[in-house]
Amino acid sequence: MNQIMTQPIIEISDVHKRYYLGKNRPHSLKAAVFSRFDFLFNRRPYWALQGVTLQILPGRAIGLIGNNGAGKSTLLRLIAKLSLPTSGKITFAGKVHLGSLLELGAGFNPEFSGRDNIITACIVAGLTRKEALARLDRVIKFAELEDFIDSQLRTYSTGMYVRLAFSIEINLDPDILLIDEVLAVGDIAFQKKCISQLQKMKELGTTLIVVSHSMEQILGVCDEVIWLEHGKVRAHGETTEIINLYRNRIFENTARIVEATKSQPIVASSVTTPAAVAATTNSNTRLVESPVAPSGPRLDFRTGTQEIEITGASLFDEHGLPVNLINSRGALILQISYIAHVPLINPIVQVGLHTEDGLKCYEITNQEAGINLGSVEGAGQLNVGFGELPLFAGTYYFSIGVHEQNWNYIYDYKYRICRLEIEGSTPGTGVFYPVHRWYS
Amino acid sequence: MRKLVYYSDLLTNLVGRDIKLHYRRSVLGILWSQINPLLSLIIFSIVFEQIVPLGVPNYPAYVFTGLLAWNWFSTSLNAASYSLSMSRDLVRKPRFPTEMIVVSTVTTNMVNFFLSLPVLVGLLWLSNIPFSWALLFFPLIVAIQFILTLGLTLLISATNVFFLDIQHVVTILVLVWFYITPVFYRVNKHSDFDFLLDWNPMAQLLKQYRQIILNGSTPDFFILGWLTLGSSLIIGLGWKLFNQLKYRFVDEL
Repeated sequence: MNQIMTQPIIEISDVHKRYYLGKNRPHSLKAAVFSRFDFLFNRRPYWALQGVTLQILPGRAIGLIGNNGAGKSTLLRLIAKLSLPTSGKITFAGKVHLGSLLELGAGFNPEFSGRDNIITACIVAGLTRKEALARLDRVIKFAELEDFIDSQLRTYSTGMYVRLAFSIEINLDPDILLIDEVLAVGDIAFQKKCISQLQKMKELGTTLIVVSHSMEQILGVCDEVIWLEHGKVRAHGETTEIINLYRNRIFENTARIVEATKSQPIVASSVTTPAAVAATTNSNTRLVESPVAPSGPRLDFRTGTQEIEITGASLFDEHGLPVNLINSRGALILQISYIAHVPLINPIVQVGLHTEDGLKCYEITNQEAGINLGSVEGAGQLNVGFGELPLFAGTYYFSIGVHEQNWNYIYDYKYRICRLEIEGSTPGTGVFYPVHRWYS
Repeated sequence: MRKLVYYSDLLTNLVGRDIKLHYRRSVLGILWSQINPLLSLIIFSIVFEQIVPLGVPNYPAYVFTGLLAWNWFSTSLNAASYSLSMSRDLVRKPRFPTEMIVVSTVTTNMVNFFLSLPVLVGLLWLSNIPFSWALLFFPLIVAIQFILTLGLTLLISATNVFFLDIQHVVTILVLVWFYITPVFYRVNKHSDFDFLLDWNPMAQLLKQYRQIILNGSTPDFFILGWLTLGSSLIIGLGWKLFNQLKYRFVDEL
């Protein structure tokens, strides 16, 4: 028995998956005939997976992490047999029941009741009608939908819908459960319930494979983590170890690129910019065309590849006058000046405010605010307007960083680039000084 | 054994949903499935009995037998082109036997065919056509038509995923096929176009249906044998093609 337990439940050996981008395969015979089948030669291949070899042991919870486009979802789809590998092989240990939460509620029909949909979903997943009926109560109870189960699905709220879908999949008792970024749905209470249910299933021997961008969730559920990068396994190991590696990748990548740039002799005719190095060391990094910047790359920096350089930051009040000293209720504009030595797309600008002793008051990015900078080239300015800064009186410093669009590495980072004094009477201690009054 | 129970449960569920969905929230419900063939029956009867008499005895019963069997066939073929893309969610389910989508399309149309049979019985009674023991062969002919229809439907649905033109071609071909099959007319004399009847499985099937229903005599077993053989070949081909292509559906749909 022990012998069997240590056999991998899934063996993935040298799996490649190719998709075609851009020019689509013709969808009609006419197009196929008239283009004389040159679509066969004209298409751009994209290797979503390039040589993944893994052994998944039964009863383990495995997290898949990596940037967008690293191949996490592709790998999951291949394991789910939703698609075939272009080359390589995925084998399962005997007959396994595969459950998947790849698309929640796919196959539901809004015209039918919750009950009918449960039965259909169970049958579609491979149960006979009798087996489906035996499981009905368990599914309804877990989804907490006792009162609504005979209403049509179209009357359900999104939350109810998701709870039903999740409850069905969990109660199908799969040997392997594939989960793609769905733990982020439903209300917090239900999320917690799902996660504890997943842990219970794991104890009972279910193998879990989880794709998530939330490192907290991965830490909470997974025993081991696989870090995919550009369709390859970059690291595979114990959860906290890999997550730390992953979190540190931004500094590592930056250091690597800077190192590579330094070691290159700078010749006027062929200036090697950090971007060009990034492009060669990091095949997924966007290729930068004509990397020759007017002044050439600067190497006299502390952090960052300097493809974009922060040249200054100044503060203005609401009337547009330069200030360094404001009242905690006053408005403030932070103006960041930069020079992009090479054309860049969607750099991420990060603004942090720290106290004199280095305590972080907040850190914000344009990405989190949903603002895209688009393509950036040459000198420019970016403003951040603050309505008010409800802080205790004292000295604060802005720090500004500019990062590659996928957070892969740092372009430039200026620590304490400008100082801000908050004046006024703010009795008490702390950092955040909210407007308040005492009364009885 | 469990597998058999499973497939029958699955089929029952899929077909039941299809049919319930179709007639849900309609006042006349299942009666709507009768309106279409009944309307055709009335039109054909007026045109080819009163306006341009074809001289076919018991024409309403004759044309209705043909229409019902033909509708099952043509609706399945036309539905084949979109049934897979309509059930995209099912195609994407791991372990789901995709071919069951096509089987359920053909079965749903067969159930609609069965639901029309009471009207045919009424028509036979009105036309004073007696029921005979030959009707025992009815399930056999239905089974052959099922195999033939399923085979063609599998071929069409699998190729249509990759070439969307197929559905337009099928619509046209089914229309042409309707006219070269004696659904609403009868062929009495030999012509240069006999091959259209001889090599047309639907023409042969309709002939056998009419043989047992209208004439009350046993079907032509020689013909039935050939039809079984041909239909089996088609379904074998369709099944093989479908199963070879089905893993690529998810990437295409």
